[in-house]
Amino acid sequence: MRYGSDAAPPIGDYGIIGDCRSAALISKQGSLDWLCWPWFDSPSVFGAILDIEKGGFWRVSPAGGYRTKRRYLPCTNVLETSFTSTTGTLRVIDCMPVYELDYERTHMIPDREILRVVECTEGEVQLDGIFFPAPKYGKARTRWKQQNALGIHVQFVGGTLWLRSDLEWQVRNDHAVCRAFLRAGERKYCSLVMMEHGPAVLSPLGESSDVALAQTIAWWTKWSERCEYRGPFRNEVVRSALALKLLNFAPSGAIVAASSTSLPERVGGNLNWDYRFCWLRDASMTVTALFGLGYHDEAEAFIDWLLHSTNLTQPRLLVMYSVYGRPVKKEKELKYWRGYRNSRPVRIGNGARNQLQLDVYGEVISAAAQLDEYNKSIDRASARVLRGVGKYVREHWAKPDKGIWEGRIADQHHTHSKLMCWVAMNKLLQLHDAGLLKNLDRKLIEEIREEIKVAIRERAWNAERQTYTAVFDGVEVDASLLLLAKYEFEAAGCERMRLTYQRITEELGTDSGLLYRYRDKLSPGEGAFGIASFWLVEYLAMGGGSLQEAESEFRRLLMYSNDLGLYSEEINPETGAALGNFPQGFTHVGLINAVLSLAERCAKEIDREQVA
Amino acid sequence: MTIQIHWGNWLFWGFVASLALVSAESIAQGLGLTRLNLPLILGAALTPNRDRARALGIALHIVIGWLFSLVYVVAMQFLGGPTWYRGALIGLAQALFICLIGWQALPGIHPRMASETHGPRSTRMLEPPGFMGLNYGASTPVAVFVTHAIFGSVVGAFYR
Repeated sequence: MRYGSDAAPPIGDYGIIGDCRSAALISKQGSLDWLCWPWFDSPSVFGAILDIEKGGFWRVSPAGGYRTKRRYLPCTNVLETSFTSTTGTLRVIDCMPVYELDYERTHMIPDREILRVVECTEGEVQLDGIFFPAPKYGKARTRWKQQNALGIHVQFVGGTLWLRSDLEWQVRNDHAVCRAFLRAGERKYCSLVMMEHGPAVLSPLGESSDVALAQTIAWWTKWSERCEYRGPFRNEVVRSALALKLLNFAPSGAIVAASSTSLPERVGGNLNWDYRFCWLRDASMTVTALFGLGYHDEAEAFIDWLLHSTNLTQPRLLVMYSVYGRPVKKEKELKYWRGYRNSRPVRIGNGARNQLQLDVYGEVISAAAQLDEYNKSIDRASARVLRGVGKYVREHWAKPDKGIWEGRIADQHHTHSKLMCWVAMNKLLQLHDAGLLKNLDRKLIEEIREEIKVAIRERAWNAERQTYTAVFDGVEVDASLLLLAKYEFEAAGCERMRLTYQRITEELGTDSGLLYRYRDKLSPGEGAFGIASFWLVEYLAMGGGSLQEAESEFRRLLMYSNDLGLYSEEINPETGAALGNFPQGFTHVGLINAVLSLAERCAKEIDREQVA
Repeated sequence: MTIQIHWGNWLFWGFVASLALVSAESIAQGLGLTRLNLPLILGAALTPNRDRARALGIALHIVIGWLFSLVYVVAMQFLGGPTWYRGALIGLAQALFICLIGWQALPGIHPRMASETHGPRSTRMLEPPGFMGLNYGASTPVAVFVTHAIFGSVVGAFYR
């Protein structure tokens, strides 16, 4: 099937829509190029972003040349793309409908739906649409049928798709095309629903679609209004929160790292990983962001998921889990897909799933410890899990591991992993002292905490280079060392941190003010790491620099989002282009936490001024 | 010919057969052989809330199956007494009726099912089964035949 160009658009050209169960990426050209249904980690239905020929896509745009302008409708995840051609303007509104619970209880609604509302707002426009689904990563054989008033039915083993539209779509072998002429004021609807197991619920279009759209806008607006943060950069914070919410799997409370797989960290290279899973590593910072913005329900649901959905493997915690808390599937390569702009291989599943990464234990305990900070309780079952995880840390902290960057190399003593083990012990003590965690051997935990502290201070400090190092007895620095201050292992303004910060900016900083996560021996050519740059802002805001420095760094980072305010995992420091899976929840968590740190610092300075 | 019903026996084995039918259908659905979900279809006639529809539908399906097993008991007496193969044969006959007539008539009866002629409306949005139930997957007729044969076999084999 002809995609319309020789390559998929730049990663930053995509916008995302979703329904907190699955998400779709839509390009500036109005092409829906990525969608996994029914869940985030299900096989793709559209995958042109990873193979423009075989992946499948659904394009709705004007024929011929046009200019594109797009935005999210205010405070929502409803995407509006305006195409201006020489003859007129076409507006396409894309969303995956979400409804209030009361509405769901009283109305029959599709399980999964993508709604595309097409409206000619000015002049007249020739519309050019192609609908080319390629279910099961392009491997499923599809059976097409135009079924009278019901619409176009695409059946495949394991599911069914129904395309309904008041535009005329013509079925051609394995795809459908639409050529329509719209005049100003004309509004048409396309609804795609999918059902995996039961009978589908079909959308009647017209008024019903307008209701679905209105419900969706109201749902997202209401959700956005719950954001309690009212300070500077609120728009950016709300957009990041909305992006994060899209990655939240509502039925279980889990949050996936990204909705995509194999978008390359180096275009044309092989750093292509599947991120459609929940990394425990992201836990503590994600919970900080959610609590910090007032999204207590989401934060508590996530903690609940962390503590209970992982019980199949406890006390050992895996690096990542599926949205339902199952171990992630074995990594496989889709050899028949060419990858994003020839970035092979395309991977599904994740090979890092069985790595030993000790930092995840500290992340989980640290996330749960925030319940204390927000005056929430910990039930007995959760307390038991925390004690079990704590015991595992006590017994294993001294082991080498793969560390935060998941390098597929030999295990090492990573400073960040040891830091998080220290955090685990520290937070257990905090919970114990607050009376939330009983039956804890306080003395033993204290001893272990001290042992870890001594180990980090002695073996992670390189006296010759005057810096903390990424691994014990090492030489190189990495960006995770900035977290020594965030987790209060060291004061941000202390001599050691100041020197480490200098070393990090000298060795990992780019001319454009971004930060690599480590020196590029492990993966040459990859971009600067999104969240690491936001850690730098946080470090400055926490006392590593002045408020002005922190704010100015932050403003610079804002330039690297796309036109919709979305960030990927990495950024090409030379071109500013997005790299890696997109949008990346962790980067948005970084943005939120950076703003919260800036606000805290700002409040402190105002207090100080008032006292003075 | 006098028809004798052993009520206690029927109540028990009719219930077991009905459970077997619902379970077999659920397994067929879980295995991806068909998207036919009779509990959902039955329950959706009573409520638009799909979670509630499923729960209500399961209960309704078991009760209907239970009552239908009485028809099987009577029919087998006419055919020479209950045996598993006579039960299975009646099951196949019922499946044939469902596939050829039942599915076609359903959109006209079901208050929330869309029809191929008029398409979905705001109150009728459930996908219709289509001819032989093929809208729910190519193997749907097979699943209907097999599950009803199982149902009939259980009644025929155990009812005495």
